[in-house]
Amino acid sequence: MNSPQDSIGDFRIIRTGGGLEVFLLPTKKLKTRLIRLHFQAPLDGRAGARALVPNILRRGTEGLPGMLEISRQLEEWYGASCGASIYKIADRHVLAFRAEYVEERFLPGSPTIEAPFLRFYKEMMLRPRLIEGCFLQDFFEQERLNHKREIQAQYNDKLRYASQRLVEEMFPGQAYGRPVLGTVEEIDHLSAASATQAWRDFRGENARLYAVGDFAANDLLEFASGLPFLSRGPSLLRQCEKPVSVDHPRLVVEPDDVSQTKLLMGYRVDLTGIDLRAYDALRYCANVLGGGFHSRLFQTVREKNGLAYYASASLDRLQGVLIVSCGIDAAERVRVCDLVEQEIRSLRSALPSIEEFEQARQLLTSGTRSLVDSPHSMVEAVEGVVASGFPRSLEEMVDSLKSMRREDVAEVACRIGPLDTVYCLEGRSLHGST
Amino acid sequence: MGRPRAVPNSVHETLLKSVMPSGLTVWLNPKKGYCRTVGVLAAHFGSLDHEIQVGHETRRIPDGVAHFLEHKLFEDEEGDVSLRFSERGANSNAGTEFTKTSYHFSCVDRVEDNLETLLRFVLHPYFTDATVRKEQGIIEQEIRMYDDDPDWVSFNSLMQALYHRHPVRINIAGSVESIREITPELLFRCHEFFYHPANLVLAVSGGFDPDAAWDRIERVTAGLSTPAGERHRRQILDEPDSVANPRVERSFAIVRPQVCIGFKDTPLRGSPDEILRREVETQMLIDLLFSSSSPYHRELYESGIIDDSFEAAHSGEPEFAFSIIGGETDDPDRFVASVFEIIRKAIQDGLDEQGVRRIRNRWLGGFVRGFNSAEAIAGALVTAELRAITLDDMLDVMSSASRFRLEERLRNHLQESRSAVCLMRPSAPLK
Repeated sequence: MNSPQDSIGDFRIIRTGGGLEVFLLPTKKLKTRLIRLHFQAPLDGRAGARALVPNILRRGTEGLPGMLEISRQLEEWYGASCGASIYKIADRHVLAFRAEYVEERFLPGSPTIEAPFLRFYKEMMLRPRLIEGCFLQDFFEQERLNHKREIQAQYNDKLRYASQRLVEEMFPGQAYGRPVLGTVEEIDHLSAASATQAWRDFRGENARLYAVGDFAANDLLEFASGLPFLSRGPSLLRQCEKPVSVDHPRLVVEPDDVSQTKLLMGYRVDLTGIDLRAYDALRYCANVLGGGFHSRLFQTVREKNGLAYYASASLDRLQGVLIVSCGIDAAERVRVCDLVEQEIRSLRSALPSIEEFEQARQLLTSGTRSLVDSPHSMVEAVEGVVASGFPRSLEEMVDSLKSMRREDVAEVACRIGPLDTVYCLEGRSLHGST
Repeated sequence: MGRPRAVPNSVHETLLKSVMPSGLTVWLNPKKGYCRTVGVLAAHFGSLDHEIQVGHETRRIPDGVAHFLEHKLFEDEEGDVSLRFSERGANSNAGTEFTKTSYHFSCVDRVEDNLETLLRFVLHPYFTDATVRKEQGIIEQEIRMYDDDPDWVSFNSLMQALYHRHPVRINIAGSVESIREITPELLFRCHEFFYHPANLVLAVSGGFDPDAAWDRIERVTAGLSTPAGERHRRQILDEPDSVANPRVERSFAIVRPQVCIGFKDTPLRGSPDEILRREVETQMLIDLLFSSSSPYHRELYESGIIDDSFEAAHSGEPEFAFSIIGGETDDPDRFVASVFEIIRKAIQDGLDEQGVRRIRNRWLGGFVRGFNSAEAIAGALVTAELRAITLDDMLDVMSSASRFRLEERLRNHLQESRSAVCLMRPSAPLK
């Protein structure tokens, strides 16, 4: 954005004197109020340290010295909750500190919750328990161990594990290929001092405060003014470089003790010079290909051929990556790969049928419109539109989706590159030799 | 009977209810300012149901039929019903549980058309040899997918350890073998037996017009005969109080040992209110002992026996009830011993009055918060209706939970002699 905007859709943008942007979505329809404080930083070797910080912050503050005291106080506030989400937007690492509490007027006797809860939230972010300027060694050691175990336990969820392995293979040594929780090696090399530094570094990162609920703008601004964080660039996170082309796809097969084989196929999508229309048309491509029951993958792989329980496609439009995912019998890998490739080829070479195009239109527009009922979805949606470099309201997104033509979809499908990498977490086959 | 009537409630929601001449119960919850609408139609038929009446004869049905039927109802003479929803931009799905099968859609447009599709496809069975055969392959893949889920496998292993013969010990989807016994004829019979209107509940929540929705529901169901039967009643099964196997161990593709301890509750032949009270109070007790506001939790956490994977929950239905306490740990024996030690200490010292009050507050807040979500409301309305309770009953029960009653639950439910341990050991080295 060149000049500061005052709003994006229904979000009002207000700025504190200190330079923190506050995105406020005022609404009376919810029974809760939501605050989210987001910090963006490059996704690099500090991801593990950053991801560890929320776990240490929740361990104790100057006023509430331990997790027990904090949990009890949150119960007093009728189950007000604090938590953190860790994810990536293109090559950026995002920490989102969430705080949610029930509207006082819906509780017996309208107890006072907001003021003391927000005071606590601020204290958790700014005044955790420290000794000589450092996180407590006990808290650090224990949370480091737990965090390391959490990283290792990602293997237990085989689909999630396989998805991470695919992006590691597709983006070796690059930010996008890094796991958002960091690596065991990173965690092993941390100290209480370096973890504390990761927390202090929040002040130099790109921060933004989001609020959804029946807030008064002035009260919110007063709260935000006490937060010493700054909104700074870059706002545009969409990848603009041409992806490296591949001569032939890489195949990575890792045998494992799983009953169902996880097959993932990664494609790069060329986003260079993309305009808004083409950017939205990409959603049609992914939807027609693997966006639900109606999609080609579901119908071909599961319904016609009975080869999978699930078969879907997901698209990261900011990074330019399309991932196809199927749960199959190990013996069917080649067959399923061929079917997927056939569908991608046909997407590139012909117009989608009127029927599938209309279905995609209906699903995409209603999916976009229905975001307004979920406060978290609204926050993530506005965060996404800012990162895309096409800031606009939900209504404008819906209008753009509605105005799409089949030709737009066929045209943009050519931006989907050749098959880049196949990753297969391969289990035993029940249907024949692999 | 007749047009839905407003049901007063404590959370400032519009709740409308009607029992139609056919016996179908309908709940409507229009929400001002909401864009989406969620519709849920649930049958009181779940994986626990293993028998149907055919004339005077009682027939046993194979494991996994409720789930198989759930899959197959999505197909009729015209093909895949999901596609009719997606043509209108609606999402549809379904799920089978121990005690019910639910079919749902969510949409922003054409609510009435989607309601009509939902009612029609659930009430209209269509099965052929070919479609049943194809579904066997798909469900086999689904079963195998769940076979790779350590939490699901651990849960099922624990149920088999806790229960001798109660069907709660059987996998909801059945097995690759049991689903091969399923035929179109069997599915038609099960549909006839379980999917009559009196055994179904419809709930709609979100940004819809209740009058238009009601008119459509009335029109679609007008042709249905007067109640062919009553709501299905399950018998309390003859299940011993003891556990089947106090300890099971298996190896699995995980990175750290996972342990869970199950406590089996005795069946309660009480009124719906009593059953609800017992369920809520037991869950509050579990929260009081094992959530992060408990000094016991702090002790376990700070000594490294548990971490964030630790979970403690209770599940209480009229037909069965159990609590599960589990998580990942490096020292499963110490984990198990510590949990039993906490229970002994709590029995000896009694519960903390302030703690009970705090847990009550947390529950009240959680209850109100649930009304943000149309899905949560529609799901809760259906569940409550099938259990013959109201949402306000839940509020009453949680507001009146007392230390005395929680202590009674502590002594009677969390007994070592009625517990079983399931331990999953890693089969593979760390990745």
